[in-house]
Amino acid sequence: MNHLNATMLKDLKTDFRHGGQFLFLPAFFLLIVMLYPLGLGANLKVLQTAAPGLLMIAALLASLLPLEKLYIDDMKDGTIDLLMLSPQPLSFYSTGKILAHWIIAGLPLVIMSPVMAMMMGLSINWPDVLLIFIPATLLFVLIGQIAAALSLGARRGSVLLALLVIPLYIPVLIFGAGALDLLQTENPTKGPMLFLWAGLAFTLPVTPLVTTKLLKMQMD
Amino acid sequence: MFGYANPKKYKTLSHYIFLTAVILATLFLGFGLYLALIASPPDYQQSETVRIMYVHVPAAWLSMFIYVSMAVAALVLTIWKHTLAGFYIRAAAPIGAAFTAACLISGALWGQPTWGTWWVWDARLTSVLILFFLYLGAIALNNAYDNPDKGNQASAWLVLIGSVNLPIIKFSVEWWNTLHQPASLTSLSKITSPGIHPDMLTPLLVMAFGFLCLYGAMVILRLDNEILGRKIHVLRLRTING
Repeated sequence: MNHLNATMLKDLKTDFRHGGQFLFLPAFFLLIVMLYPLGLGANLKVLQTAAPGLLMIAALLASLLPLEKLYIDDMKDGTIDLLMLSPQPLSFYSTGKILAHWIIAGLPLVIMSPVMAMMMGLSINWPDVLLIFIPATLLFVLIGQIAAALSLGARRGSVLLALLVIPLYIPVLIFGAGALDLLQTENPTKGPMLFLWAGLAFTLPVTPLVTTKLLKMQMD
Repeated sequence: MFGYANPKKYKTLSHYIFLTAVILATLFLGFGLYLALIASPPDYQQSETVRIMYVHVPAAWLSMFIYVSMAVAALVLTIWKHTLAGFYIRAAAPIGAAFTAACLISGALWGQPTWGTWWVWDARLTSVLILFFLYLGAIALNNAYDNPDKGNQASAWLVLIGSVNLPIIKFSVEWWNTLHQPASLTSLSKITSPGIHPDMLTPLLVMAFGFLCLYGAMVILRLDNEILGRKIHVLRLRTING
């Protein structure tokens, strides 16, 4: 477990000391949300009907940004090589990476989400928005981890990464937007939201194992 | 059976499979095209445009079939490390992408006169488009590594992850995203229509089998090319290293 904590703290410290994505990503999220009224017109009725999908798309795009740099530094400075030689299982390392990744790239979006929902004119209670954005951002992080590990040694990594990861993000987008959409109807239902949590329950335990396998493959 | 995972042993077999596939493909496609274009009746609603279906539906079936076969190969590669399975993914992915594109394009050509539009964001169309992008991802990953073996392995993982994800994507699109769509278009869809007359079913099945044989012939050609390409690669490395 020390291994996990150390990895997580290392990643968090590096990010904070470099002036951090944890500040930049919410700003990016806000920027994209700001583009919608500029592109679609400031009519709140139009925005309101499109808001669930638009918010999820903004979160999705913001989640794409940190993926490319996720494992590159650790691979180049030999961290992963050293860890593979150590007796500790590599899955602790990748779990630490996942936690740090979510704290940096997911949590800020979650915190921002009720404000963004309000700005887009959604009439949903903020705890519900949080309950949707927590699993959605976690799923973005987990699927993104797999894709990042998959394209680690590849040429033209960043374009490739977007091509790989966006199709895999589609269910999260559909259920996330559906959840936001159904909560603002007259008979709010939580079905899609529960699907998100169910997806999380499946993806969370699988991801560290898959990323570990992929990292080992990349290091051969 | 795994004896044929050895490229040399596979070569002894592949020649015969290729010949049979080519002969069968020529026979069935020729006969199928005759049935589809001349012998079969025009549809009472869609009139002559129904003939597009004889290309469209087999292409759609193959696009699914090829992805499933790639997933099986990916499983074989990740578990037993048979190189031939990696070659198969590399060989099959572009053909699968081409059939998916053929399915989308022929569908658009059919949709224009029938639905009055080239494209609708219907669940079925969208999930085929997503399948197309999964194919593109596999192709791109295959070619993104300096070491082709690593490209094959990475691609195999992507195909595996995609095969877990594909049903989820498909059902999420079909069950959840169609809520906002006009349902009138999906009810027109030719596959969901109650039954299909034997006069149309026969050419469809003949064409489908012909397409399958055509795919078999093409994939074996590409597979042979991959094996030859790898041999050249190895020979070059040997001459460089002395």
